[in-house]
Amino acid sequence: MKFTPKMVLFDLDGTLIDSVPDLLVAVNQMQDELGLPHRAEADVRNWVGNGIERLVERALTNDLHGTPDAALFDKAIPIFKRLYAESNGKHSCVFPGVKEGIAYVKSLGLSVGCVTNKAAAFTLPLLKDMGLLDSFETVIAGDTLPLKKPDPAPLIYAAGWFKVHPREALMIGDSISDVKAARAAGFSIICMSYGYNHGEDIRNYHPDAVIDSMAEFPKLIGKAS
Amino acid sequence: MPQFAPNLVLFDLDGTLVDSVPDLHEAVNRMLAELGRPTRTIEQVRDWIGNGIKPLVSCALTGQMDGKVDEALLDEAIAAFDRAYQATNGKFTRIFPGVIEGLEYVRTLDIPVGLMTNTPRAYTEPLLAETGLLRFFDHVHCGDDLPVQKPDAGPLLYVAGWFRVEPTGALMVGDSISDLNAARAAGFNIVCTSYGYNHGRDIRDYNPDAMIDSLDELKSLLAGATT
Repeated sequence: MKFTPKMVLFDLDGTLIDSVPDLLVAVNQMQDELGLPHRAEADVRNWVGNGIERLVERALTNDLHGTPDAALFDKAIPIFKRLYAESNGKHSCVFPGVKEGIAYVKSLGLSVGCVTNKAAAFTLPLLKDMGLLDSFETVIAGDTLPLKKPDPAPLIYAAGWFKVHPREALMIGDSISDVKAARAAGFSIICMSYGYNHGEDIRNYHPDAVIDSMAEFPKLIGKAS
Repeated sequence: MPQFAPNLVLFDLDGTLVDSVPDLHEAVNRMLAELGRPTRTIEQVRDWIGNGIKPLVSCALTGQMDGKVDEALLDEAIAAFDRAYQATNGKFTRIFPGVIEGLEYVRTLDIPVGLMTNTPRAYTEPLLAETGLLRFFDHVHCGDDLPVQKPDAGPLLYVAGWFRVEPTGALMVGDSISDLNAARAAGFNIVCTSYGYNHGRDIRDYNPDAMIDSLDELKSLLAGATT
């Protein structure tokens, strides 16, 4: 068996849940309120993964690397947060294979946690609406700690939580941020091919494995001997 | 009025609880003698510690804080230092005044207490056993336990996770800029001891949340966690 971890951490957006539909609705309602043009779903898909603030900056400028006028940004952020609190969980869906994959790792007796850069106020309702909240023994949200992915801090905190060494830990993610955090923390990393990575193939960043569905877990993950 | 009511307290070891410089100084000079190099004074060694064994050996070889050393020579020197330090570790170490009183007080607060050092486990455990300090700690975190070390926030966050507490409620007690930077990055509060090493610079310049001259002062600085 390729991976025999004691603990598995799952990223949220782009890994467990396709949350772009919710974000797209909130982005375009925000653009309406600000008198700005709508953005395309394909673009929003490339802009997610670095937190709400970066998403709003990108939406306002229509640019992955954009930085808007500070006054406009300060005006936009509370509008977006209000709208996203409404749309959060309404249009999202759990990716195929996720529930089977989580059930499989739990059947091995492994500790299971969720580590996301999304703030707790959005993360917990979304996990609840998607029927996933009870799957996780701990949820480390973007504002649980002073540091976020790609810093290894949230992964290391979670490893401490389960009293496992990082080399006995496995991260499941979809983006460069997950790969960097896992590498710096000393975790193994499996990436989902279907996630959000700013339009780039995650294989370019050499995770330990790339799979199309968590239904493939039984081929890769086993019980430590 | 106590200033802190932490949910967890972590103590640095060298320069905070114990003065292990005499052990390190003796080991450094045995290593240098073996390599046919000039010996160093205890004051020099005092300025070079706090970041782990590798930087210490590198400084000892060059006689400077930021000297560059050939990797092969450094590996040989570290091996020689390891052998020497195994013999000197804990033999000349002294516990700073007030440490036992401070640790005994913290143990009455009903919060987890941990040791947080960059020193490898192979050196830390004999030193704690030799000095009788081991009994005060619920968890001992050493420099080789994780791929990251202080001043990275990782080790502090790992132990905060271990005890399932919020890092913003936790307290680090240390003596160096490395302790302070790790604490700040992790969201911990930081109390510094005035008598520590910190590379010859005054730790007050880095604005820790509080300064103490003795761990005995923790009695007035810390209260039990509010419930």
